[in-house]
Amino acid sequence: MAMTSASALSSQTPGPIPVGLHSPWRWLALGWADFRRNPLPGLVHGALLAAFGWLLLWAVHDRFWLLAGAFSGFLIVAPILATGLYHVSRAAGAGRRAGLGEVAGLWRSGDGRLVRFGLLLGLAGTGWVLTSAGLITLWSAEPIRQPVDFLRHVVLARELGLFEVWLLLGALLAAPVFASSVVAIPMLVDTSVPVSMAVAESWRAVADHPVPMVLWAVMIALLIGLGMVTALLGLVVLVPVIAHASWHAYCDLTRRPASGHVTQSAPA
Amino acid sequence: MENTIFGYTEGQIAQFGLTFGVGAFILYMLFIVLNLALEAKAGKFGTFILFLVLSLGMLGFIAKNVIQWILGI
Repeated sequence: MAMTSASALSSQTPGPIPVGLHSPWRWLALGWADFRRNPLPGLVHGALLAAFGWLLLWAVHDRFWLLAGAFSGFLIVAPILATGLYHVSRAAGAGRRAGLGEVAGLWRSGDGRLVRFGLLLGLAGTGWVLTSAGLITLWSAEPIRQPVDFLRHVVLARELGLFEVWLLLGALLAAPVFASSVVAIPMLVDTSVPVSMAVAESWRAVADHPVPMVLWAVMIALLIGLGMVTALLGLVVLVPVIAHASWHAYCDLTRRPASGHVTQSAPA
Repeated sequence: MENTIFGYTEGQIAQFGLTFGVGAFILYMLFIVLNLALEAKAGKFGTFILFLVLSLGMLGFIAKNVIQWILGI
């Protein structure tokens, strides 16, 4: 019986196919299927992340720069926090159902490479908040102290300028962060390659498929935005679906068979 | 009484024109950026950065308009 359900799980996860504009939709569909097949680890991750977001909102809701810093860091480091879900998708591909205990085991392993990568992402987030604070403080005629000040004087400013430049700068800084992590983080979970090799592989994958990867980045931004406007409630489901989908993106981008097992080296 | 064309007021027609016009303009800009990236030999990673910056910029611009619409500004 166990074998039958294992075979069923494995056969439902298709292998990698060439990456094109259709791929981000396929990854999302596979991510949704993984989530539905084994929802508990995803829901626990999503609920914990949403609860942490609510805690941040409660603690610093009236101090804009603290809130912006905390949320930026939270979002940038979130892919590291979702690594347990990559393991769930990998197990599903191999025909197994990974439980919460197995995911907790991954966390207890304390992989130094993931910790190092998380710290680097945190550093990038800090750089973004400092750059953003400098730009807005120098440019805005009004002091920005509370979130409502930011909404009124930056986002909803009638004249074009500050908000648009702030967005372009954010996108410019987000590009290398996305390119460095989209393949690297699942690869660090899946293989024993060093961080530098995983990042190089990630950049290669993005450079090989620039337009599909832009579509994937925009879809992630849209879904996270959607999750945030629902008072973070949507993140409970959207975060695990995106995390499972990211695993399938990694499989397609590195041509890793979803049911295979890689332990030593990254694909050339 | 306000003049209408096929039951729509001038304001409504202008609003439709603006919505679809801006949509078409965004697509045209994407086409220009693609051409620019190809002709300038920006490379595939350069193309990724150009498209990502433009796409996220547009997403933000649309979000700004949606927020303004929701707040009735």
